[in-house]
Amino acid sequence: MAGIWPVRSIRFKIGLVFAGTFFLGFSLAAAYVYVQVKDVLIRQENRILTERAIRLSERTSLYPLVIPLPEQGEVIALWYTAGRFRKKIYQSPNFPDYYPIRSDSVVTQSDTFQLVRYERTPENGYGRLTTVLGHSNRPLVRQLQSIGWLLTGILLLSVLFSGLGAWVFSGLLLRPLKAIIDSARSVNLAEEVTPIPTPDSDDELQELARTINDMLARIRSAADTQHNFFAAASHELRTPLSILRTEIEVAQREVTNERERRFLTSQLTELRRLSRLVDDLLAMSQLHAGTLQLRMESIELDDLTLRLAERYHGSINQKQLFLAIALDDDAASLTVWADLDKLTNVLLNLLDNAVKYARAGSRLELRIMAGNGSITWRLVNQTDIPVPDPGRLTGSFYQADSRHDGYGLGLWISHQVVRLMGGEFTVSAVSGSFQAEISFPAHITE
Amino acid sequence: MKILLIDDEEKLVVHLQKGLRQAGYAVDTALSAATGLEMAAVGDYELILLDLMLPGTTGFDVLRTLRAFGLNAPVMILSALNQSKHVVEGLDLGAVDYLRKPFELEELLARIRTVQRNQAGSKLAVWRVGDLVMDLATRNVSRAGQTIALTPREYQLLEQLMRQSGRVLSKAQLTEKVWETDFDRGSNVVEVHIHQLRKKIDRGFGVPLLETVVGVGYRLKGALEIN
Repeated sequence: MAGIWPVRSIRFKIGLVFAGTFFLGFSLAAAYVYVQVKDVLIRQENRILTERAIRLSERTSLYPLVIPLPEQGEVIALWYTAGRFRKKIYQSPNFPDYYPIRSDSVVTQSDTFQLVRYERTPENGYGRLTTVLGHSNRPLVRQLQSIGWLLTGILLLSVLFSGLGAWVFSGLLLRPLKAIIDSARSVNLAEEVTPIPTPDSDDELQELARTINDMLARIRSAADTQHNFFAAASHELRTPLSILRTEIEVAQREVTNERERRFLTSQLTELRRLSRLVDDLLAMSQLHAGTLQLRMESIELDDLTLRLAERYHGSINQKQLFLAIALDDDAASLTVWADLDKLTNVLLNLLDNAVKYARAGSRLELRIMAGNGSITWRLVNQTDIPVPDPGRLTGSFYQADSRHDGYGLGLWISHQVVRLMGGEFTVSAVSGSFQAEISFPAHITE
Repeated sequence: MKILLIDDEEKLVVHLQKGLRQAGYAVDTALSAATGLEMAAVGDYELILLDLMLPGTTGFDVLRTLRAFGLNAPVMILSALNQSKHVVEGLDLGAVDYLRKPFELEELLARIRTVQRNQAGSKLAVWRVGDLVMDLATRNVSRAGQTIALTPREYQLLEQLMRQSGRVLSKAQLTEKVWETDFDRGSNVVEVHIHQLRKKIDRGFGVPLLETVVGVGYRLKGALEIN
């Protein structure tokens, strides 16, 4: 099972939600602050400008005409109004043309200038003297811009930090969950069911771990029950099987009639198959439960093979097959490290299949070879029967297919058992021939 | 040889007794652990065949009781319990062998013969052909003082070849003695066995003893001495 795509992880989502919420809240606050600051700054600017205008206006005199000089960067316009009469007294060269002379507002803003108007009655007490003072509003705009940038920068940084912080912190919080996932993932076989660690946090995670542990315990007990059932059932089945076998074998020694003898031989063959099926059933339940015990010892593979091959003498002759055995002559030893009973069952299974499915009158090739630090046992038979897909054997669990009853279960068990004994089991089928191969690391004796 | 069979499966007991009697053994039977122990105490048996699942007790307990009473007859366990742990426990308790049910009668007889041979000790002879030695009691085979491990089939083959040493035995003659009459058809098992035997007794030693006489058969060179 693959891990979770990082973008879909809970940590990422929590980080995203935090960052999003933070962004919304902070940007509203920042916008409000910006507007307030801007307002304050402009008001302050205007106040200063107005004070300057008043001072300049007070220094202005009509008789004699005295015009105060504005400072650098300031522009000034002065005019005198009396009734309908209006006279421009002075206007700085770069005073903006667009200034609305009839404007009522005290403060006027343009793209380039901040302008204030001040009116007073001159000393003669007649008419009105209007002073309009302006200065460039570029510094103010620049100041406001830098405040804006500062706020945006802080906003982005804090969004980033809150998102990251949430991601890191939720990672810490969810660490027990990761541990739960990891240990739950390692539970493959009922045999290996170990309780997953329960975080001591009194929260949902602890509850989750407890619940999973309860479930694992139930799985374990179900597997135990199933395994015990198979063990008991196979034991119960073996008792009548052994009675039948002994009875037939004893009878076989007594009868002299050829027809009866053949009948008994055939019964015995089926009985052997039945016994092996019982073994297979138990082995399968043990494999599923992971309770298959191996008693490893060193085994002379050549001797064992010859001994087992003899059992098929009858069926081989019946089908007019020829079993050609070839043993590696150059090998110092053909000894492997395996469980004798299990290996015997595997080899019998393969021999059984080969004899059963071989085309009548064909040749069975059995070869044991040593080389490259391994010992390989290979059996090839010619067949007319379509062979099941060898790939199915390597699947984690065999999918029962009743159409291929003979091949499937035995091969699946062989594959699993050989793997447990440290060997490799492969089958392959090419046009009309089926090959089973077992390979063990060479075992050095003494 | 006197054998006691302790098993609660009546039908199995009846047929097994019959089969063992056919093979020439005197067999008494007991259907419960208690009867079995009583009979073992007075019967002076040379071999006890013991089932593990007995009513009310287990074969392991019977075995322990036997040993506690000082009865040292060899015990062979016959059981349908065939997990490794049972085998190990049985052998640890001093059983000489453990046969899983269902077993082949032939296999049981072979193992009984092994027990018998071990008891017979040195009453049987030692055969010698050149520097090749076969001890019929222990079934040990050695050449030039070096022990050679043979499978039962190889041993049987060598036994036939030594018995008739110096003479050519045809493949048919050999198979008839060692296997069944028609075993020389259907496979090259016999040739492979001869080949294996030759590898074991001749490879690494000076003079080859096992000869193939092309078109006729096989011969072990030298004369048989019996001590």
